[in-house]
Amino acid sequence: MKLRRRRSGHGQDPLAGALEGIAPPARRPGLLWLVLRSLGPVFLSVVLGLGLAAIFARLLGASPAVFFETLFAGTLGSAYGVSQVVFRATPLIFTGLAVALAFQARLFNIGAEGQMAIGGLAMAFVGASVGALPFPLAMFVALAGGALAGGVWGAIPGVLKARTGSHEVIVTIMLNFIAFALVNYLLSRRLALPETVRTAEIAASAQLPRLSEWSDALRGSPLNAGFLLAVLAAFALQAWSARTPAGFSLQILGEGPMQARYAGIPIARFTVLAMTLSGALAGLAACNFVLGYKHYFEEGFTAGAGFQGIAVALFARNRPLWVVPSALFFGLLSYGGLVANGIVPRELLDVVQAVILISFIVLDRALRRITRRAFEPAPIQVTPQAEPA
Amino acid sequence: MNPAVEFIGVTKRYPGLIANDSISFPVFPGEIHAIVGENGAGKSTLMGILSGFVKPDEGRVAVFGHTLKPGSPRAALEAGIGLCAQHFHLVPTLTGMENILLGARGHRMLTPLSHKAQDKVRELARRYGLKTKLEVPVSDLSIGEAERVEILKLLYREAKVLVLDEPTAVLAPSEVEGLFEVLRLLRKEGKAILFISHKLPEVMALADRVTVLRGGRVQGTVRPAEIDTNMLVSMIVGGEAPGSLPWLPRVPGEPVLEVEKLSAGRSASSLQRVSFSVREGQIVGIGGVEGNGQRELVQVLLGYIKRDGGEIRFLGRPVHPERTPAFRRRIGVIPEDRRREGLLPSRTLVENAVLGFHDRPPYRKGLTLDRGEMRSLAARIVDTFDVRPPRLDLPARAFSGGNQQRFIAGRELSRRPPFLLAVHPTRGVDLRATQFLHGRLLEERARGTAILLVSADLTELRALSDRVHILYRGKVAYQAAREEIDVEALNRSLLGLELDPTAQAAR
Repeated sequence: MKLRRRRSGHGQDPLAGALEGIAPPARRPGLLWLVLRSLGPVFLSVVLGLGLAAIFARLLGASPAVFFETLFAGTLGSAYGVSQVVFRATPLIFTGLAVALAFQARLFNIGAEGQMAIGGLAMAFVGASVGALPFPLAMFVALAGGALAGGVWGAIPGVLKARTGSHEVIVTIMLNFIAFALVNYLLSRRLALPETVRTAEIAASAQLPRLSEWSDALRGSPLNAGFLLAVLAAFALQAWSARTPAGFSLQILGEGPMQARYAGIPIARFTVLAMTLSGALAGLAACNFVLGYKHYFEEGFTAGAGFQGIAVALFARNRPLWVVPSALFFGLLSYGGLVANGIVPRELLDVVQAVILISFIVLDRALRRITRRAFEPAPIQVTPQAEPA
Repeated sequence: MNPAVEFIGVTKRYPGLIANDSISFPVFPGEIHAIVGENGAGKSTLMGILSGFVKPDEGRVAVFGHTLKPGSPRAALEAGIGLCAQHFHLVPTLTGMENILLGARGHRMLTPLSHKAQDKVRELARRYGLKTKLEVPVSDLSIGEAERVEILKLLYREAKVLVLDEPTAVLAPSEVEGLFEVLRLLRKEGKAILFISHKLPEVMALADRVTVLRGGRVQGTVRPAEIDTNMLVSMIVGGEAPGSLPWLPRVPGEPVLEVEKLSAGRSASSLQRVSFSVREGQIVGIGGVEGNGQRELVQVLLGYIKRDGGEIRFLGRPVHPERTPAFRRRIGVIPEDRRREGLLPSRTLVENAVLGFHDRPPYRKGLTLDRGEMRSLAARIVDTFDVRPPRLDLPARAFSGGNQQRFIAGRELSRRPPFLLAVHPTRGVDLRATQFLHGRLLEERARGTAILLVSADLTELRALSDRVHILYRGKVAYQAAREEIDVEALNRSLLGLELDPTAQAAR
């Protein structure tokens, strides 16, 4: 007597399949399903968020049609608007990548904000001191300085976790405060110009070129080569995670410390590595402002980009390449808030952001469950606790 | 007599398979009713349905004539169904008594335990001979003691139907006998007992009736008195009973792993001056009741914990696994916990195929991974170890335990290691996969691989090993070559009743 299946998978010995208690899944997910699965939650949550925005705009006495028109005309309607969106997305790409990278090893880096601040100060300091070097070289040295400082700051929670097991969430949160205090101290005691909260300007040879130099349509736009670096970083991280043994080791660690130990992966070393690289990426996020826009470090320039990186990574499901569109979307909302400020308060766009994120999380989970049910035969358990996950 | 539990046309479908296919049979009060079948035959699903964790698609369960509300654990509890799961549902930091009274009717959190209730628990323990420590945290109890707490909990809640999911899997033989005494007593008092087990001799000895499930259907209900074990086996696997293993005498070669006076660990089960050696073409079995140093031994060999003394030699040279992780990569390891150690559950078989050696050639080419090479390795493992379904892109979690274990064994042996450490290689694995894995271990032995087999299953140890060492409280309590095993002495050594004179001298 054989186990009945909806569709038989391997024909040789139906009995054996039945004995193994697992039949081949009913069907393979089709392309359409895969698209729906990956983009469905994104699309739906965005629609939900914008729908809510329309309702709120109406409640606030504005016409939703005018609101949306202003929003999209201001952001996507012109090359300048697009460049502003991209400019705002640039640091988010870096911080999003930072969070995503740490999360590949199941580490939560909540400290991107502090790492970015430290990295920015180092970048400004190095950038101001390398005037003797020629253009691309000075710029790369300044970038390296920022990455290094951010990396060192990120390594601290990594080392503490590896050595003592202290939880990286707590440590990174606390290190944010220390970073802000340290930056302010260095700024006020050593690096700031008199009567200001900013450093001296960096050398011209250390600056990231403005893209407006290449296209007239971008005249006046702060968009700079930092964006290209960010995209490059996304591709590099993608390749590193998917194609290198070290990247795979990190993901094994993310699956669980017991698997990593079993696989002979030095857990401590990879914990530190993940946090260091994550911190370095967060440090690089400062380049958009420090090397590309104002050309100096200013207190508070991070403006929450480090924390937003968490949302960006979440929306991208921690996939490096998805971080780019995810960051662009958040950049759009952020600049959209400014554009539509005359019609609705810009905080409305923050609310929209939150609604989108929350509905995304819920929908994504729900859809994942459905996918598993539909395409994977469930190993059966008596009770939820029967085998600890 | 009215049945205590009656399954009536119970059907549960999962995508691609029917776990329970119109199952109907009654279980009467005062009956020990065993349920047997391969992994995936539908036992667990059926018990899940009975205890309300799984909602059936069709059919119903009647308990003492009343239809049970489907998919409600609470309703099942209130109807008097008590489940003693394989992994106990006990809070490790609370004492046995607290666990028993926790959440029971009439007790609120944060109030002192009533003396009346406590007396009632002690009275139950006395009446049924359930000896356990009620005043110490459950985490300090042996597995047998914890199981007795679990049973007491069910009795305290006045369960009329007891469901025991593989209750003997981790018990020593004498503890098993004790448990059976308790169950017989409960039977006499009119409780209905559902007993799931893979161990057929136990089933034959204990059960009044046995229901065999296969492929989600009832294959038949039989009385042990009327059949023999072989007939039962053929009902379970649906054909000829698998033959016994072709264990051939063989002269072992050079020593591969030598362990001398090894001590490690901090707890009561720490290893104390344990010595043995494993030679080419030899299977050395390490047995004992769980928690007597087996885990420490494995952890020292894998470098997870440091040793406190002694020497480990591999191919004649001293090794320090805790300092040189590279040692781990020179040997094959079938780990204790396949889901949390041996596999990346959410990753595909392709990625799982190289777990542990993904960073060396041929899977690393220059700086990058060679996906093609990984895939062909995975295909080779799936093919030679008959992993089903043979779909390389399915995540590891989608495979049944038996197939996961085949895959792990295939991966570890694909490297042709000189030494294989197999830790409980067939635990929770169905008969057919067990047979298969045993066959592979013997093939490896014939090929000259040195194998250290750690197992709590004495039948398995004796069927495969050239030598058997029994650990008790971290010491070798008994050891003998295959042909010299004295079963009586071995059984006594499991409980420390007969310490090896040499081990005593070493104290």
